[in-house]
Amino acid sequence: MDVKLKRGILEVCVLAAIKNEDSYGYQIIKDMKPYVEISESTLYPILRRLEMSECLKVRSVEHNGRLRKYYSITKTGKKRIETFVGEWKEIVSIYNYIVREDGK
Amino acid sequence: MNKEKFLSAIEARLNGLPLGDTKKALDYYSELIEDRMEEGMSENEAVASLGNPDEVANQILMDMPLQKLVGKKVKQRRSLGVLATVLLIISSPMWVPLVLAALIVVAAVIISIFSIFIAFYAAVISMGAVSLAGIATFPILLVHGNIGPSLFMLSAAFIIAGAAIFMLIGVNRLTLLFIKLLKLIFVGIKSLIVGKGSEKA
Repeated sequence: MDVKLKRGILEVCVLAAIKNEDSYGYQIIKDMKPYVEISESTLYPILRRLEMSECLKVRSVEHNGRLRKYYSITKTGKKRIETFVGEWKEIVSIYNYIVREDGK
Repeated sequence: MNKEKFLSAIEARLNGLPLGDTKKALDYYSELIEDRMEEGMSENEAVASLGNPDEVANQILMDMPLQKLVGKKVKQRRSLGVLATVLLIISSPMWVPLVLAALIVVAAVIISIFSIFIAFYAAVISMGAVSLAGIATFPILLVHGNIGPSLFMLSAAFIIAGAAIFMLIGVNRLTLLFIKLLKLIFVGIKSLIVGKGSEKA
């Protein structure tokens, strides 16, 4: 798949994983696993980018005597998901057209 | 490999980056190892599941902006031996002008490329202005009864406007191509700095 496209999709996936409940690195990977395999070193730059574009916020929470970073979605992040879902509907209809014409 | 070795291998490869960036990356991987161990994995298993530390570090580096990578390279070079430092100072009358000349050449290339694009856009803008002026002149000539010249003015204005639009499309394409090329060069420079193993990232 096109690298840029995949990166964009993964970013929205991560946002979806933290949308309803704040989450941390390992949990995000586990939650996404049934749908998309994402490695730790792929997730890291995605989290950094989402943080820089203010789609999510990071806070440290104490857990078993150590710190764990929790990520929570922001308004910008929620908007990003909305935009993606809206655009995707358009892409699906284009896809359907291509498949239909191709099958003729 | 245990957690400490894994993290210090990454740290060694990140040496020279801004401390905040290094710490963030190490915290991230340390947290992942701990979370896996909490789930019942042994320390070695948890570390092994994260992959090779060199590759992990390379991927972090490839995602860094270029200026941070250059800063990293410069910082690493600071640890020169005494002899090397002395030689460097003695030979400075030779290499300082050379480096300066190289920098000036690079700057000149960049400036001239930019001026080419500015010239292109200026040409498009001036053509647009000329055609607007032509269109504006048309009614004035018409009012004064110069029907022939006024029609000539109008058609010339439209022709120039058309040419300007074509040129704008061409110039835009060229600019996009140039930006793509710049990006490729950037990625190339990055993987040169990061070094081996970065091709996979």
